[in-house]
Amino acid sequence: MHGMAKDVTRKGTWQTSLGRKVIMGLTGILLIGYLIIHLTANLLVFAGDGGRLLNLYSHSLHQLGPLLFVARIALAALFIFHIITGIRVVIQNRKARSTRYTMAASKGGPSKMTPASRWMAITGLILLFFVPWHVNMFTLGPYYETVIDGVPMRDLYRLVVERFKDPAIAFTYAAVMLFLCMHLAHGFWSALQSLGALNRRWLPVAYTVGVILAILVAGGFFILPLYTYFFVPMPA
Amino acid sequence: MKFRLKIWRQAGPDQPGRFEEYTVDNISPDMSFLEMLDELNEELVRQDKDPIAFDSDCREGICGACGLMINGMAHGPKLGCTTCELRMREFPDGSLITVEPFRADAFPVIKDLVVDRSALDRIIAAGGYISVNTGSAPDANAIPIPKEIAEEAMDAAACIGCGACVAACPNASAALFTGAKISQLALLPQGHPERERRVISMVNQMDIEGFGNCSNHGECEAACPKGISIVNIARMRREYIRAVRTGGQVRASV
Ligand code: HEM
Ligand code: FES
Repeated sequence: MHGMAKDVTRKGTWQTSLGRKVIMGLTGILLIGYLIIHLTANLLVFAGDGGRLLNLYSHSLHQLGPLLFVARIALAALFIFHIITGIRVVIQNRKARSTRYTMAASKGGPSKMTPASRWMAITGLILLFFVPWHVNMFTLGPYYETVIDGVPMRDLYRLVVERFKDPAIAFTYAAVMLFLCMHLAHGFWSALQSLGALNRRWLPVAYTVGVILAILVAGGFFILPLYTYFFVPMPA
Repeated sequence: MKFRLKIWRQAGPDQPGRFEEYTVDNISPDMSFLEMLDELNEELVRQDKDPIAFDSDCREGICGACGLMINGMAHGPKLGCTTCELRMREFPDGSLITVEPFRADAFPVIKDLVVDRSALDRIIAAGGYISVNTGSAPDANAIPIPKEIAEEAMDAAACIGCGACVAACPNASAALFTGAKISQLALLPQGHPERERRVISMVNQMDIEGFGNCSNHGECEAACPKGISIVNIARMRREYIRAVRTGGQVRASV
């Protein structure tokens, strides 16, 4: 009667093909959540107030003390977990077809295969190089000081504007955001699908929302350096 | 109609393979792709050459035996169609058609275009069934099942196990096949008693066979001759997540 009971000695784990995708999806969606918060804050550059709001926001974050430290560790852990799992998934996928097709094409129709879905590992790799560059440039960059409402604090705004006034930095940054857009365009709906969250009704919705979200989030980060380069005056 | 064909020839499982070019003429547009290959094989036999090995059985789209990579697409360019149902009118007259076997390390080539797809059978054997006491057949309507659920289960059960999903997937993943087999049972009450063990066992087997991971490209759904939806992959993942969370054990039934 209970045929399966005898045969199954293995238990389910998060290290099967399905489990790994749960990890990818979960870390990916949380990273997207972080990006949305990060972008919202960065839009304060557009406030046109000489960096007052941006600096106040950054200062308030630093007031969190140990909490900020914990958040940063958690974020780094998510990122590393995402990358390691992504690399393992890609290696296994390549092994699954060691003789490649001479000719391969999409059949179209309901297929969701796009350059964005095909290049996840490449766009991810670009982000892998981008993030340390970015952290090194801003978070670990020079400490300028300013005084707002009598409180001395870091002048992050000056640093940001100064860096983005360098065309090499502004344009490289913007270019990388195009790859971020691709990663998110497939990543958002894919993460929900990997987590088993979609059905006939929500799958097309999630796909469309993902593309819009990718354009908004990556678009925001794309415009920021270019707007700064062309239009924001260097703070006195 | 006339075609130039570039076909993969491979003498045996571990032999090197290569493409060979052939020309076929006087092909009726209403011939199926397999009938066109039959014509070519008869010509090869007449010339005392080794005919091209390919699989087929029912030749009406229900057995899943046929399956070729035609111009880089599993079962050729037409949606919702097996290789045996594909007609030559789908191809421009005089064109070059490239034919390769379904490629995946889990589907080793046996000869030419014939691959061994028994990995899919082993996934089924790992849990794609229900355990019942045999006896007199139960009344068909003894367990009421809502129409939408029955339809959804039936759509999943339309899978003929041809392996086009694996062939079309850039990662050679068997997620759509396994997802369809798990879904058809997970949707129905008869499948519930063993659902946790089933999904873990079948997913483990899928991995042991060396299939890749699903990256949600969705190309499998386009390649599937039965148009089985990738929502079945999402359902398999839900089943898997709940099974891992409950330790893979059957829930207490009392
Ligand atoms: C800002 C940073 C990043 C965000 C927001 C992000 C987000 C995502 C999301 C949401 C997914 C979909 C998950 C799924 O399909 O289940 C994904 C997939 C993926 N990510 Fe990232 N990612 C980031 C950085 C990276 C980096 C640095 C790499 C590493 C090299 C990477 C490699 C991958 C790969 C390979 C996949 C596809 C996995 C597959 O084939 O199934 N990502 N990412
Ligand atoms: S030969 Fe049976 S499905 Fe094509």
